[in-house]
Amino acid sequence: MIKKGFICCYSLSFLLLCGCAEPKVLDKVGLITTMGFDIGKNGSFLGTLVGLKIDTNSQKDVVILDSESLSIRGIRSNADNQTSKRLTSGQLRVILYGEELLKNGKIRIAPILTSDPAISDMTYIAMVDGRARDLLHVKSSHIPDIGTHIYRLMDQNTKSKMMPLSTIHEVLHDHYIIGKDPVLPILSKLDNNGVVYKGVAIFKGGKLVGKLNTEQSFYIMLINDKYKSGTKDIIIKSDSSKLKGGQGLTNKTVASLDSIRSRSNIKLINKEKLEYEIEIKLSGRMLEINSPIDIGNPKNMKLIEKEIKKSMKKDIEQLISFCQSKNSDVFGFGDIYRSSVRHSNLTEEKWYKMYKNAKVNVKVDFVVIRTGLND
Amino acid sequence: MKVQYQPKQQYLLNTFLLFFIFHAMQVGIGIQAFERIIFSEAKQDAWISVVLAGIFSHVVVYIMIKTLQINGTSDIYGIQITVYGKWIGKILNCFFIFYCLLAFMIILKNYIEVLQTWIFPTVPTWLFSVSILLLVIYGFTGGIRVIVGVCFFSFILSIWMLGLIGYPLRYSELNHLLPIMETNIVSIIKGTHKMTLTIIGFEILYVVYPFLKEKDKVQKFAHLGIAATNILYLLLMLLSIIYFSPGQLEKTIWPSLTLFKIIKLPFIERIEYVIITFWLLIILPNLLLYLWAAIQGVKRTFGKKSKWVLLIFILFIFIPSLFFNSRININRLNHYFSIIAFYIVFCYPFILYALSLIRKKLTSTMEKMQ
Repeated sequence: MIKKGFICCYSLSFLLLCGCAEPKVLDKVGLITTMGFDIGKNGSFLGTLVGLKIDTNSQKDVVILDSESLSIRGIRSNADNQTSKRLTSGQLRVILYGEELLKNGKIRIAPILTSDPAISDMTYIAMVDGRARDLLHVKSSHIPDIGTHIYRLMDQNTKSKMMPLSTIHEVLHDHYIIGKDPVLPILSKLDNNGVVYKGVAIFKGGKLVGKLNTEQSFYIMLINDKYKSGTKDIIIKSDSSKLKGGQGLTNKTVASLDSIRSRSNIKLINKEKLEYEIEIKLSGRMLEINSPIDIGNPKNMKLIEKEIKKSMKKDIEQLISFCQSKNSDVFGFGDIYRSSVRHSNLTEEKWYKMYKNAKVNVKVDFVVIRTGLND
Repeated sequence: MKVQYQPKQQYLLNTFLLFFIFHAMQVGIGIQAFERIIFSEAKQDAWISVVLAGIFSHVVVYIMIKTLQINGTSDIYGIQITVYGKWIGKILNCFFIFYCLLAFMIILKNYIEVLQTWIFPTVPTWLFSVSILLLVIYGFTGGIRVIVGVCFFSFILSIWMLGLIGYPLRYSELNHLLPIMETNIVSIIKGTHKMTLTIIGFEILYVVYPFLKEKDKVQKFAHLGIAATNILYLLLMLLSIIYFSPGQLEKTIWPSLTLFKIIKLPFIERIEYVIITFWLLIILPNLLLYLWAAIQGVKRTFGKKSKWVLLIFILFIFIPSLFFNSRININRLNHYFSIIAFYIVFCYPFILYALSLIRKKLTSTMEKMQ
């Protein structure tokens, strides 16, 4: 009796071994690595998908598909009509937005994509100067796979802190918080068919309001993030005769810093009048300065440090007033206000009104740690 | 039926296993989603709600153990019959049995929903139901000692997940916790109330108590178990607040699982797929013990053989589990269940304690008078 039951159960359990889930065999699917979105006609989205397909017979395993649809998910389904292999989005690495789309405040594409569990929260998001489709159609002999190329470019630059971290999680985090706006890196097409990181786009409530170049985006990361190793060329604007440029091709004085370590702190010092203090401490190695100054002399070193501090402070103040004029709170001043004022009941509208008139004091502390092998 | 219940020597459990029983029972399906529910009430002070709920559960367990100690070696089924008499006692016993089965179903349905949304959108519900229920039947036939063994292993084998907390911690901002105590007290209490579905599980003590060997150590291990769970909940709550921004947290259905969505290991890019399937091991002790408690109830109240009862109960769970498939329906089911659970787990122990105390006083004075 027991034996009979045992055999019954045993054989029944084999039924569980049959796979009921939809199988996704690598040879039979196309892996989307990059998605680009643009505005199409009549309120539709133009999508450009870059995918990889495993095909032993074909020379190229990269496919670029153009499709158009009224919904975000529809873009993929429509693209399926053009492929021999079913598209899956589990390997999606980069999402690109066309500039026009962001001007219309369509940053919400990313949240729509995150409701698909297949898409990782570590997917990068970037804005394209112009149309995303044009960038993805770049044909160049040294870029065999544009999707992977863009991913590597962003990954490498994010890790070396040249580019702000703009994963889906990070962008949504800043988008869904009152008193902080996200930033997206801007990618652009080069004339000779390459891709270049050009700067950072700033937003107001999900709408593109301005662009910053890479010089300025350095300061955004300096304030929002910690540096463990970074590089930066700084133009010293100084009246001191010792620091006249001219050794190089330009008459500007340029110091090149690397191995930058930094730490920053934003404090709300006046709650009524809304006054902030940003304290930045950074140190680095100066390997190059195009001025005939003797850097072996401690006095001169002090002068250089002082002038660099001054130049940085000026740049940062300019950046902040630019962001204020565009009403984009990339540093999260609003969140600091919310967290330090009780019962502030902050709303987006209220904050944007306050933010315009906020006063920000910048304090920069800079030390040259060493100057390399030469004095 | 006999009110006092002394299981045979070979079925007895070491009391320290109560720690694992409690932890395994409390951590189940609620932990995947509670952060958002509490946060929508108490905002950045949600962690205070979690702490309050934890303290309250300690109090309830203390009262539960006191109630059990008054009544010698008996379980809730025996106590209810001594306190209320034969008929009302039996009806209340049926309620408790029904509650256990309902809890079983809630856990099953929620887990299947997670599986279907995250990993297998096309696999039908019945298949998951059948395969999990077969596993439960198999585990149940092993008896209480096997079931408690599952609790133990579920704890030991899932402890590695705690190590993954470090990843989301890197992207967190402590600012989100400030200002502390900004939310008013009413909202915090509301949040505490919403913790019900997450924190319940320790009511199993009412049934498991006669099986524990050293009765004097019950208090110690029960509280240790609850404290461990509470610390885990507190950690997850804090982590969710500092990792997600408020708007994000309110939109995420399963914050605990989404937390793991950013983890990328060199050999496996999406660890949450592993975690979700691994979760079966975490909910298995829940399912087993609730089913066991229900069947134990039938055995104690009506003296029926457990084999047929098991089959009937499994059918009783399987057939309704095929319905309620949409998110809205499951949410509604959870909502009603959490109301029932709140009264049964958090309010009823006090009444039962008071009544058994009165009964004991009365009988002792009666004895004195005689």
